[in-house]
Amino acid sequence: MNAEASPAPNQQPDRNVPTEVDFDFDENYLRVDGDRPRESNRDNEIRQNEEFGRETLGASKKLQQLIREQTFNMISGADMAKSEAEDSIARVKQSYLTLKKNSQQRKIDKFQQKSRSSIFAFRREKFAQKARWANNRLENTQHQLSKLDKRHGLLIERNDDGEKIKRKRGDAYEKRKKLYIERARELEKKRAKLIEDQLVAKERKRRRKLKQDVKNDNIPKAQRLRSQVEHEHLGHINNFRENVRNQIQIELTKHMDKMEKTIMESNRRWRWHLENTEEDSEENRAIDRLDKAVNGGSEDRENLDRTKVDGAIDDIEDAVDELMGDDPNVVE
Amino acid sequence: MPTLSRQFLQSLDINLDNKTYEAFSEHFEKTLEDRVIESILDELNEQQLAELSTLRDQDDQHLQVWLQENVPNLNELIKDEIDILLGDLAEDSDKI
Repeated sequence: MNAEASPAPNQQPDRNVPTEVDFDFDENYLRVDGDRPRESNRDNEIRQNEEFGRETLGASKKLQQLIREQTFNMISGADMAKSEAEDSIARVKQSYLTLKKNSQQRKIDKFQQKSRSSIFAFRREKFAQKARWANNRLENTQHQLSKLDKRHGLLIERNDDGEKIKRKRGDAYEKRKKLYIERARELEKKRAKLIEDQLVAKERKRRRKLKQDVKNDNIPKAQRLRSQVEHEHLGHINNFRENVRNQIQIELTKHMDKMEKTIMESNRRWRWHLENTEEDSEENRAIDRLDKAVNGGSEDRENLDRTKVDGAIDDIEDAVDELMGDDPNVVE
Repeated sequence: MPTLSRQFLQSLDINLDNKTYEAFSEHFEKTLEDRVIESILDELNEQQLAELSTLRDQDDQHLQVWLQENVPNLNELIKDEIDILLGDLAEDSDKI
């Protein structure tokens, strides 16, 4: 053992200097199995202070409020933008329907006016109204049937003898399965993002703990570790996030490929309630564009771009304006 | 109003009835609060712990000032705990 390694009586030993045997001494190392490590007064005091601290922080209304505010902001950052956009859609839809309703009302008023003019006109109008009523009912039923058919496909029907026969589901079913897969992908992406954030947060927490341990304990590698932790923290977290993201992406691809295979091979219904049935309409295409813009913004909550949402709202308003312009029932 | 919105849960394909949703939100908030407190305590050294224990009878405002001085990264701590809890939720959303 060299001279530098032997500390003066009142001086802490310099543990950075290598000695013949260098290990961190653990007082529990020598204890007999079954013995509890002896608790010092200091440990007792720390534990008591921790308990008091827990109690004090737990009673703080302001801390609770701060936590709630941050949670709300984190969760609703994307939600708020989306609900704002949905409100906009609802407003535009409502104004469209109101215009349509007014237009129909005007037509009825016109018919009533004519009906008062002469008996012949009244009769003709009466029958015409009945025919329209019947026609509307028919159209409505046909529409409902077509929706139902689109959703479920026709699985069972009867032949000429009245026997039930099974029929393969049609293209609409296959199309809806693909739609379901798309939705499932979106859902899994959202989960993956949350899990990525969780893993990064755990890593940040672990690094903080390490830093704190180094700060509190007078351990030999303190100086080196402290500078390491302080200087590498940001770079480390960025690299860590990148690695986690890559790993999750690999897992996600595997998982989704498996899921897609299972869905495409199966013949059951896949949560039809999740989607709109009229995905081909102009309005729904516009809503989809809006959804994409909003979801695009919400993927990165920290950099949520409000202009994207505003732009998308303009898009939907334009799309619905076009729709209303094409509709002969709408009176400006 | 619960901080864990229904819309957020639905975006994870978690659909709950009213009663379950309320209980779930309450549990979420309580768990988060406990975890944040533990996280704060982990950050403090012995001296700071001793100081904190003397603040039991002080008002909330005083405690906030003390926290700002002694836990400068409080917002980061809270954010990390929210991220961890939301990640837990996303992982287990199939089982809820």
